[in-house]
Amino acid sequence: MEKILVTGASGQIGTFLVKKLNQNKKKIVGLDIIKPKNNNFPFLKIDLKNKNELKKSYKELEDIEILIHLASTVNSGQDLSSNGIDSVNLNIHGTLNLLENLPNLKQISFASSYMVYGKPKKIKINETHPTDPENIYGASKLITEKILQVFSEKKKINLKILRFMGIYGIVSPYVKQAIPSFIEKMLDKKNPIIFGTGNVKRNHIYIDDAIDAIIISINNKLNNKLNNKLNNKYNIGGIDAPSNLELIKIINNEIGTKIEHKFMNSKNKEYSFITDINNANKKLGFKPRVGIKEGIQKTVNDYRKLRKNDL
Amino acid sequence: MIYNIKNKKILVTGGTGQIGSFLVEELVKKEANVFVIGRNKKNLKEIDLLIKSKKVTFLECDLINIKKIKKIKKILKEIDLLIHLSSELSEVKTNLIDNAHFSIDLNINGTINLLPHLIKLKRIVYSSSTAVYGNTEKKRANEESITNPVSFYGCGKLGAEKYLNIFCNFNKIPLTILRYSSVYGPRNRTNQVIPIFIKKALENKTIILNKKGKTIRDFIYISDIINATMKVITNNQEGIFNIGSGEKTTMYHLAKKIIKLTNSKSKIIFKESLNEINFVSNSKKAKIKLKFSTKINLDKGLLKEIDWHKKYNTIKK
Repeated sequence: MEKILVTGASGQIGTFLVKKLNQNKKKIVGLDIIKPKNNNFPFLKIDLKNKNELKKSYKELEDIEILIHLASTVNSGQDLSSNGIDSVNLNIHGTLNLLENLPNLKQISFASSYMVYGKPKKIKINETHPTDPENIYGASKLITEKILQVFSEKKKINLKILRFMGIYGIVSPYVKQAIPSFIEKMLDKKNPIIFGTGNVKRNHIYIDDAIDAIIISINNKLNNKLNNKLNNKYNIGGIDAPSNLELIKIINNEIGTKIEHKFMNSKNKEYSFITDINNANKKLGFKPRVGIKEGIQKTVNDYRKLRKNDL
Repeated sequence: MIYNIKNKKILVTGGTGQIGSFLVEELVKKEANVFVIGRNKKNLKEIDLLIKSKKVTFLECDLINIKKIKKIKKILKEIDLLIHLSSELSEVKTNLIDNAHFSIDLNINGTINLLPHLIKLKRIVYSSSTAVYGNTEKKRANEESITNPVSFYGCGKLGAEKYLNIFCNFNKIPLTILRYSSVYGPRNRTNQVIPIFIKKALENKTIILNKKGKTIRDFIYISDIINATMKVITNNQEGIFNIGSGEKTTMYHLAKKIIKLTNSKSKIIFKESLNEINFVSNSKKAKIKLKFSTKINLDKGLLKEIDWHKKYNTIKK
C-alpha cells in the first residue's frame, strides 16, 4: 500500500484527516511541530524549516509516495514586518525542504486557500480568476502553489491544488473563523461581534466536507495534462453562502436564544467572496454534503460536548 | 505627473549589475543622491569611479542578512525612492532545490528584510521579469495574462511582486513593476544565450540548438531598458508594465546573426531535447502610457555587445 505523509497532522484539518485516513486503514505518517492528541499512528515531530531534522528522518520519508501538505502559518495580516518572513520561511522554504527529502514522491495534494485570489472581480470566483493576494498568507500560499507546480512538472508528479474556503467546525486552537467564534460567544450568552456591515457572504465549508475533498483528491490518480495548469487547481467550498448576519440568526435558532450582535468598524474593505466549485465537482467528483444549518447544528453540538469534556 | 529626482535619495539594489550600473550613471546625470546596495565592495565594476569620486554611496550589504541590514538602517531611514533590481543572474546552483531556495531567498526574503527599514519611502520601482508568465503558448503575454512561471527564478520574481504589492497597499506607497524581456548588450555577464553564442562564435566552435532552433525569444537592448526605466521613474507611473521589443527572434536566427557579425566559422547543429518555451511580450501599455519604443535593433545591439566582450576580453580565446 502507498504510504501517505500528512504534514500539519496536529492542526485543524490534520487532526480530523488523520482520524479518517486511519479509519480507512491507510498507511500514514504524520508530521507536525506539535504532538497530536491521539498518537496512534507513526508521527514525526519536525519543524519543516529545519533541513537537518528532515534529513535525519530519511528512513521514514524515503518510501513516501503521497504527500498531503497542510502545514502552514496561519497569520493573514498585511504587515510584512510582523509576519512576512515567517510565511516565506515555513510555507515556501519549508515546502522545498520537504520536497528535497521525499525521493519517491508520486502525488501531492496541497491545501491552498481562497486568499490567493485577493479582491474579487466577479460574483462567483473560479480558478481562472486573477491572483492578487491582499495578505501575507495568500501570497505565501500562491508562491507555494507555483513552486509545487514547477517541481511537479520537472519530476512528473501528480499535483492537486485545493483552494479552500474558510473551514468551520470544531476545533481550531489557532484560527478563529467567524462561525466558531460566534458560537463560542453565544453559548456564553455574550454578544457576538461583527466587523463591518455583516452583509458580506462566504461559502464556508464544514470540516467533514473539507476532509472529503482531500481524500477524493488523493484517490484520484488521473494525471492531468502537464501543460494544462488550470486543470490541477480546485476551489473547495461549501453549499451555502450565508452573510454574518444570517449566521447569527441560524446560531440563535440552533441554541434557542435571541442574542443581539454588536458591530465593530472594520479597517479593511469588505466584500462577499463565493467560490465556484464546479471544477472540483466535474474533475474530482467533489460534492459538499453539509449545508450551513446542519453544519452549525453539528458544530454547536460539538461545542456543547466539549464543554462537558465529552469530546 | 513629473517626478523630479534631483537631490532625491534613491536606493538602487543590484546597482553593480548590468541594468543597475547603467541606471546609476543615468540617475547621477540627473543629479539624484544615489545609494547602491551590493554584496561585495570588491566587485563594483563600472560604478567604481562614481563611488571613488563620491557621486554614489556604496553600502556593502547582503539583503538576506538581517544583521547587516540593521547596520545601515540610519541611511535606509532617509531613502525617498527604492529601485529594486537585486536578483540572481540565472540558475547558479547545480541542485534543483538549492536553486529554488536561492531564488526565494534573494527575491522574497531579501525584499521583506529590506522594506520595513525604508520608513520615509515614497515610491518603489521593481524590476521583474517576463519569466513570471511562463508558457503563454502562442499568445503574446500582456500585463493581465495568467502568471504560471516554469522556473524557480520566475517563482521568486512573482513572489517579490506579490509581497511588494501587499507592502505598498498597506503603507499606501505607489508601486511600479517592470517586467523586462531578455536583456542584452554591453556589461552582459550572464551565462545566457547571447554571451554563450558570442563566445562560441569567437572561438569558431559549434553552436548547438534545441528544438531545431525554433525557440522564440524577445530580446531588448540595454539602452532601451534604461530608457523605459527612466521614463517610469521621472513620469511617476504606477502599475505593471511589460518592457520588451515585441520582436520574435528564433534561436536559429540569433545564432546565424552572431556568426555573421563575428565573421565566425562556427557551425550550427540541432539537438532534440528540452522542451523550451517560446516567449514574446506585448508592450503596448508601455508604448501608450510611457510613450516608450525601442530604438536599437538586434543587429546594432549585437554588434555593441560583441565589441564589449572583445574589448574587455570577457571571453578568453
